[in-house]
Amino acid sequence: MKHSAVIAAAGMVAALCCAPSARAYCRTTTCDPSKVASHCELDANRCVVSGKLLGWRSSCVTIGVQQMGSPNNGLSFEDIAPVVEQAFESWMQADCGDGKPSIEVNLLGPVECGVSEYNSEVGNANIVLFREKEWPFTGAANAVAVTTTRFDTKNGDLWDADIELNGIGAQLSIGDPIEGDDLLSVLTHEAGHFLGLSHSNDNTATMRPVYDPSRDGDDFRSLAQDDVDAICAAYPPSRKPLTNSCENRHGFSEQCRADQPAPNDSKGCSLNARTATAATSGARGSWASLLALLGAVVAARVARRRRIV
Amino acid sequence: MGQVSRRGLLVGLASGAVASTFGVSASATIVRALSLPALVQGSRRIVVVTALDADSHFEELGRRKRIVTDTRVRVEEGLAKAEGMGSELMVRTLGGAVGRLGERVHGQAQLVMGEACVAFLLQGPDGLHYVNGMAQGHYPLSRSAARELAQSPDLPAILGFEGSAVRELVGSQLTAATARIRGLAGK
Repeated sequence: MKHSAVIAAAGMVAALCCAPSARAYCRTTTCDPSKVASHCELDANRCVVSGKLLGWRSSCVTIGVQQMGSPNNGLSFEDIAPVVEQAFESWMQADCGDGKPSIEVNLLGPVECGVSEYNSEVGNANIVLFREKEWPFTGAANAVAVTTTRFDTKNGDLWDADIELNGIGAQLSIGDPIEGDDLLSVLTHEAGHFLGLSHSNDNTATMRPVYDPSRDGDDFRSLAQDDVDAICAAYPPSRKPLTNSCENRHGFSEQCRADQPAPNDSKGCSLNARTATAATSGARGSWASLLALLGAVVAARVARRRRIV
Repeated sequence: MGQVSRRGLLVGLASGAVASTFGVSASATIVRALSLPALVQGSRRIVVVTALDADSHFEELGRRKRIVTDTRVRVEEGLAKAEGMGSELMVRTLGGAVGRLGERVHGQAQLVMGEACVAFLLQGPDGLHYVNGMAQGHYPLSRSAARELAQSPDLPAILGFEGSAVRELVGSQLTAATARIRGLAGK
């Protein structure tokens, strides 16, 4: 009798410690269920726990907004850029108790390239883009937004991420009252995926998989505690990033691959290339490098303001 | 270690199971809900399939190269619209891995090797099949005798979930789901 009581109590403790109320968020991993050798194991929250966790290894990444905006929805770059910034800002300003998440997402100016691609030899850009003529996903005509992340299968390092919005099928809107598909809600949710988070089974979380705009109002716009826990676990303030560079993999370019010079001629975006070089060397330690790093950060911030406003 | 009563063990196991029951699952993209009638009407074939093998490679899509995964599946059972179908189909999903580059298109159906699922399929102009509504058209089947339909592991965020096919089908038994689907397909 005594043993059965102990086991029952242990079961209850297990149930409580693994219950969604304790931790409902999930993080994306490299595990690929289509590979025969893969067995994507799930934990008690039904999060995939096999494979490496996806995440940006730098302390800084950039995101651009397609310069065309969404003419179909009557939204210009100038309308959209502040919404993108606000969406990412929600994540970056999360209160982890001992500081903010150790990731900064800098909004670049308008980006010319209007497609989602990853270039292994020339420059890249993480982009929020609008598909205005063709939605290229067969079977997904009802999608409002699709996020694609590219990563290193060996270690989960995120290399590139794009958020594509359906400018044909979605009724994207900004501001209040919320009408149609609220761009800020959509982008705040997608920004979580951009940062390597998956869905949460906390029904108050921005990363929950179910959203009813008519009932949930603006819940997707602001983070719940579970979202804060997720971003703080992914990017703890005490994390030692691999680099402080904001540079994209293979350099930044606002142009699509087809419009870029051949790899040998490519210098990427000159501002960002300089920033990255300074930032990387700054991390190595000398005072001179540290000053260079600070200068680069200030330059980047000034440039960022100039380009957004 | 002393004796463990069967009752205690059962209570312990049941308590542990409570923890796993309240889970949803991973990853996303945002889609509008497809109702079951819309999903049935919009699909070319509705079948129970088992994934046999898969190949990921680059394909031109929307004028850009992206990674796709072509999965060869064995047709176990045609639930509706299955006339003239062979015993195997090729199903294309977005994303996969080529070398060290992994590409994840959140919200896609993930066909797990060796596991059976109910799939609502479209046929593209290329002759290949695609899962309709991304992961909304994909329901893994439990291995139990009841063969219950489960939620796709990478279900996208769904706008208007209450009236969705996912809401209606997840947790139902295959026999009941088949009857409902056939009713909607008009056969």
